[in-house]
Amino acid sequence: MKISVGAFALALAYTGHEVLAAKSTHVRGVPDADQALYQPDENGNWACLNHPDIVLPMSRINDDYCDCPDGSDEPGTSACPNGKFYCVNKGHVPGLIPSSRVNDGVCDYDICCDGSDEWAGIVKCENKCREFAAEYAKKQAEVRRTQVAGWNARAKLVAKASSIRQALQKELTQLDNQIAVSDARVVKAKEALKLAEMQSSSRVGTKGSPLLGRVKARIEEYQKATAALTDRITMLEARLALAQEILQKLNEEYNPNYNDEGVKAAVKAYQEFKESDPGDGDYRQYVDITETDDDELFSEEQIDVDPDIVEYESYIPLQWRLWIHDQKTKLRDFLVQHGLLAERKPSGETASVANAKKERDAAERQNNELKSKRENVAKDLAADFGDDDVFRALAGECVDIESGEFTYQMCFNERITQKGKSGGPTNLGVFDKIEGDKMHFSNGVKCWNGPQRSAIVEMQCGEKNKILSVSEPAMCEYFFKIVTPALCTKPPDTDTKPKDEL
Amino acid sequence: MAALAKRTIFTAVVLVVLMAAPALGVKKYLFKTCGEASFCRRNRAYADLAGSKGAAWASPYAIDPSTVTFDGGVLQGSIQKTLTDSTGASSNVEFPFQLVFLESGSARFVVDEKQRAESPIPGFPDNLTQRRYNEASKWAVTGDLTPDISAVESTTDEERMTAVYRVRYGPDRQFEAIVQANPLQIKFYRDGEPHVILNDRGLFNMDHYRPKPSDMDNQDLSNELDVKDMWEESFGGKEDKKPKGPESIALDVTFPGYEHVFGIPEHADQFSLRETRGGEGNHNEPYRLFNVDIFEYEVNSPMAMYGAIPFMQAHKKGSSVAIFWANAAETWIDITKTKPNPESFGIRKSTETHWISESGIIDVYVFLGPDPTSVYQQYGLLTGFTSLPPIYSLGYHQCRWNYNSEEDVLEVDANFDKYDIPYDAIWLDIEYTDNKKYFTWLKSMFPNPEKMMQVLDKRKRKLVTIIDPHLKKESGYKVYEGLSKNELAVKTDSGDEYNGWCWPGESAWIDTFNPKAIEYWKEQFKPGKYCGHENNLLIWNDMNEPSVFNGPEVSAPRDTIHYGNWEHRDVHNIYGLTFVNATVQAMQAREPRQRPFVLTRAFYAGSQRLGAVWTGDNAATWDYLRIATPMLLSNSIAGFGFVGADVGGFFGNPTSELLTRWYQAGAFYPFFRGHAHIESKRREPWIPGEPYTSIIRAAIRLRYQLLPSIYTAFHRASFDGVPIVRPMFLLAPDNEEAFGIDDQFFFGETGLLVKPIVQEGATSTDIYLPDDEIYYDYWDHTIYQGIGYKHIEAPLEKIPVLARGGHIIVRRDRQRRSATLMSHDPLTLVVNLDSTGNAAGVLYLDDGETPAYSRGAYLHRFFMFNAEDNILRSRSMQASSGANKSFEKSIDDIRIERIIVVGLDSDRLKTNHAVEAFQDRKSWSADIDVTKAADGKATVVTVRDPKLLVAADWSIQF
Repeated sequence: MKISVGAFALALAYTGHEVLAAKSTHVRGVPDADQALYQPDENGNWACLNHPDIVLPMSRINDDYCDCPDGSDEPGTSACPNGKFYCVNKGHVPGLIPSSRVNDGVCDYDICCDGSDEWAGIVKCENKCREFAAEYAKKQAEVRRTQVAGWNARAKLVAKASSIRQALQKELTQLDNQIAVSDARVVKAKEALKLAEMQSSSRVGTKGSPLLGRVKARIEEYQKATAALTDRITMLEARLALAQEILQKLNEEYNPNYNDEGVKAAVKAYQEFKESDPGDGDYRQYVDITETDDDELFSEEQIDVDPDIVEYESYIPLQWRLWIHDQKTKLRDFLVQHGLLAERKPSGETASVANAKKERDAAERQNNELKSKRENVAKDLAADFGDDDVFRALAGECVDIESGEFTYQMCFNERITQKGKSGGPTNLGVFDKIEGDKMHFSNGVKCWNGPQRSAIVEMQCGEKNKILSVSEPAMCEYFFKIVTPALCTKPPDTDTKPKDEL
Repeated sequence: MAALAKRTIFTAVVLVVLMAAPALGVKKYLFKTCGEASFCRRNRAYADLAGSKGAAWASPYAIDPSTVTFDGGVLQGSIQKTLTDSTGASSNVEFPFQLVFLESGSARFVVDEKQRAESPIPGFPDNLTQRRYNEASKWAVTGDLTPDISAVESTTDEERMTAVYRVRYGPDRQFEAIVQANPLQIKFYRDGEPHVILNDRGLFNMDHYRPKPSDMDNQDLSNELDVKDMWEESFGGKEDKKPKGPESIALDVTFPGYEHVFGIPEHADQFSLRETRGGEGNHNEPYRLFNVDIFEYEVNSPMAMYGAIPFMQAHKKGSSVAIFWANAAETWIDITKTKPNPESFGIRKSTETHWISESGIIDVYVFLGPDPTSVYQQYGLLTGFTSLPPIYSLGYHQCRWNYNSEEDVLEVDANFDKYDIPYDAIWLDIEYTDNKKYFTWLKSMFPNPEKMMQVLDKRKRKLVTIIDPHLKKESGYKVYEGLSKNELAVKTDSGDEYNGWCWPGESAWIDTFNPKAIEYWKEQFKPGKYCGHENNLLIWNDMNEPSVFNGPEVSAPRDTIHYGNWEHRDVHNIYGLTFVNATVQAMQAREPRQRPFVLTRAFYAGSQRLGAVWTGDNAATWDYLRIATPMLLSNSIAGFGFVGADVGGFFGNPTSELLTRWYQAGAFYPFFRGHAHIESKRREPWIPGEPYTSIIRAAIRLRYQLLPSIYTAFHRASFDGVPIVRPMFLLAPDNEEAFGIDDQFFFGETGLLVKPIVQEGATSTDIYLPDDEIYYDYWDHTIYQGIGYKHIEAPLEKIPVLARGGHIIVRRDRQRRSATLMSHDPLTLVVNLDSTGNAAGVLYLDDGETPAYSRGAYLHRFFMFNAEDNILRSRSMQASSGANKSFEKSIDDIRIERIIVVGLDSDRLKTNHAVEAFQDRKSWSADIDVTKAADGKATVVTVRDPKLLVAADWSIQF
């Protein structure tokens, strides 16, 4: 309930003759700045400040009876329900107290350190402004220190968030490139499959089709070429590793105090190079193809294990049979996926079609993986991490507090857990959203006979992340108060300080 | 708080859940029906038998005329029951009776059982008192029971020949009792008409002592209607050994010509009691009085609840009478209404009631009125009046199960100031304790309760802690250990300490019938021992039915034993009262300079002397808001007017609209507390946000504005028993149409007619005007007049309140943070003129918190506006004394700052701008503001700061 800086600045603007005027007709509960509003008109009357039609004799100002609907005639008494009483608080910051607290027998030192709100003598309130001013100055200094430190800490968070974002963006670009390659592979694999199927269908009923022979020859060519490329890559990788080792050594051991621009640029370029490592891609899959190939793939007789198993199944009770069939299918899929079993195909399907399908599936799988990875990265980039993206830098960072019989852990943008002296942690909620100064966590573990646990984290500016308190206002609904630099705002310039201290 | 919701959790955890999803609503199977209580079943069957025989019914009970004497205000003799066995041989059982005419104007009819009162009965259980329990009156009645020696017998010789006795008694001996020996009947007359008839239908019945026959098959049971369950009985798998066998008592009471009866709280039912033997709109079960912890009680039900006041008022045009059935055992009351019988009682129906109790003596008091006010005074002179509460207890109370820590408490406290809403007390439910061990603190959450209390005290606010009668059986818990060591707990039938389950797990129950237990209880509350030396501590006694989670009907087994070797069955309904009594004594000893405040859930007749009560665990639905009004009315007319219902509803989450409407209703509850279950969401006034918070703030502020009038009403209740919340018939005793109206009430002495909105989405309502007086809308002074319903708008922000003409309301219009902080503020008088232009009102004022008022330190003033001379006068109502002089001096700065006169004919004003004030032989003029009548609204004259003192005689000439 501190008087606004604006109003106070206004108070400072008045000097000289206004003070003289105030001396003659000082109106209790009104700041010096506003004393001028309590001047009589030419008839010696005065009008309510917000109701000029209500005109009163001067004697009705502060006569302990409310005449003005806006309370302006009783700034110094408790007569009006909506009035405000101004405490001078000499030596400290002035205060405005609701008029309902004037002369109620309580020394409201938190607002009126001079005790002027209790002028009627119901209770004696000594002036404590000296004490309060000192305390206030100390507090203000601490607030300011926190603000400044917090603001600086926040700047670092923002920078970190920005570099995380950049890295994500880079990753996105790379993924886009990889997806383009992968898309092409899928198209190609699909075409190859189509071709193989055509060949296969044209070969139906015949053995040793001439087309099959040509395809086999072509594949052998590719396999040779691929093997050669693989050897080359292996060699290049070894050399790259050697070069990286040299550069890594340089990176670690160079003397940054020697201001050698060449070395510094090289180190920086190396670091960027390292961060942008695209990984080794999927070329080894192509290598796999060369390795798993054998003549059997092209033979007409495939072993189909299925009929035998089906026969076993017919001896088993129905409800078990369904389960076993399910498990069997899962097992086979697993084996197929890991190359231990040939994929089941319609009888009569040729090995070349099967192979083409395998390639198409691999290509599509890779393509899907890349796309989902991209989707995740894009989602991450689009997510709301608050102003300046600041919470991106905090995501995953955790803080703890012990309260009552529990230890609570809050991890930014992730989850909150509660841990008792024994037993595992209880999930109080996973991150849902940030709204203003509150983080919402929901869908925690369900309470017995109650709702799913949830939590709200109210944040304010602080130098470091810290939980101030935790409570459970309603059953299984938790409330955390924390401080974090993320919520700090730019502290006001220090040149306004002298005014504050007046 | 408390309740079975807590228990549900507990049961589930400890006993493992047997049922899948517990359905919402009362668990009826936990509580007996009449058919499941053998004594009720038998007496109902007895009534059916008598009814089926009609005029041929011959009761076996009759007075032996040779025993009848009248002396010193007492008519006494012996009632004989004739038993005839299968051989036709007959024998007699004697029941001595007394009809005592009391100096206070009431009559008391007492019947005991001779053999149990006199020589020792061979084989009677030697661990029990042999005589029937006769101490219900001892606990309930604090008034004078001296017989009125001026009562006179006026029996004529002719009457004596036919064994009829006649006694005139009461004020100016206007009352008359006519006792008839055979058939046994007592008729109470006033103004030449019978108003109360005892044993009109011959249902008087007393089980005499008879040990269980060793061979039931060969026993002559020709005198027994139904021998099932007479010597032992079980319910819900729990055995009751019934060592004294059957010992029930029953009596019928007829109110001839009375169509409406009221009272016998506590039931969640309409105000005018229903018939209980079936038929449309009626109950099939009798109203039951048996204090139980009833979880999610259902509305419109005769089921037993937390408290029992066996007081019933019958009201008809021109007359009110009542009876008080002073019995502490389980009691059932059947109500039927006869068809109009023009020959005997005119065109009106009569109400017949049948009172059935499990044990004890017959001890019934009869009050003959003649009007409701006299009835309440007569009843209060016996059982005591509401003690004058400290004024802060009439402010708003903020409760929740639970405020979890000191920070939590202080944050809620600070929010009241932040949102500029006054309140007076913040409450701590059971979770503040260390493992539900009362008198301890959960130190991790409340490391420094004294400091917390000091912070609250800065704004003169109070802390209320809950203290229940069950004490955790745990070694090292000193309160329990002392109780156990000194054998101050309720005992089992074998004399060991009785242990049952409640919040803390296995517990013992303090036996507060024992004077030593009361002393022990006082010890526990000593300052420094409990809560430091702060004097802003108030206490909440819950679970004192008593609630025992694993006991029969969630209470103590009936064969447990209390101080004096009485069985629990004999004293059950009084236990709660004795517990509060111990707490009140402890708090008085702790802080003799403060009037104690204790809230209770269980109660009995007389509990009004000890503090406040609330209607237990209601729910956050409109139905419970609706039922609160008749429940408050029932309690109020039964002497216990300091009553409230949990605002917002205990269980569940109210909508913002329901919460807001509940605050608007609650502002007029004598006890005004918001409360919520642990599983409900927070709902303090600022939670719902706008516009609700502002509307709730306005309702709470209205409460505080009206505090001087509310306090004055409590003062009146404290000396003549007229309640705060008043039914229509109190102001309109002759309007039969209004007797059953129970969705609106008059508030104190103010003449305010309040109709809470209890329907979702309602924006208007119909208020019933019970008389021809002029009524003004409290907010805009619109005039309503004429008996019947008046439609008035009631958007969410408006509480439908009309001000009846003729009353003067005293307000304190300045908003402060708590009631105590208002004590120096000036007053506003609102003078609502009646149709003849007159109005009157009273103000009672004292220091609001100490017992000094009882030594005369108070102000009592009478205000009267006289239409003849247009003068408003203030006069003292008290004799001048040193104490009131010094109190007056302490308030000599308190003035009347504003007088608002509603309904004054503006042509009668001397001038339109000023009036003349006279005080202390001086006179001066005071400005007025006149708003002339228009658009159906009354003229309103506001006197601006007349500079008159509240403690002075003065007058104003308009």
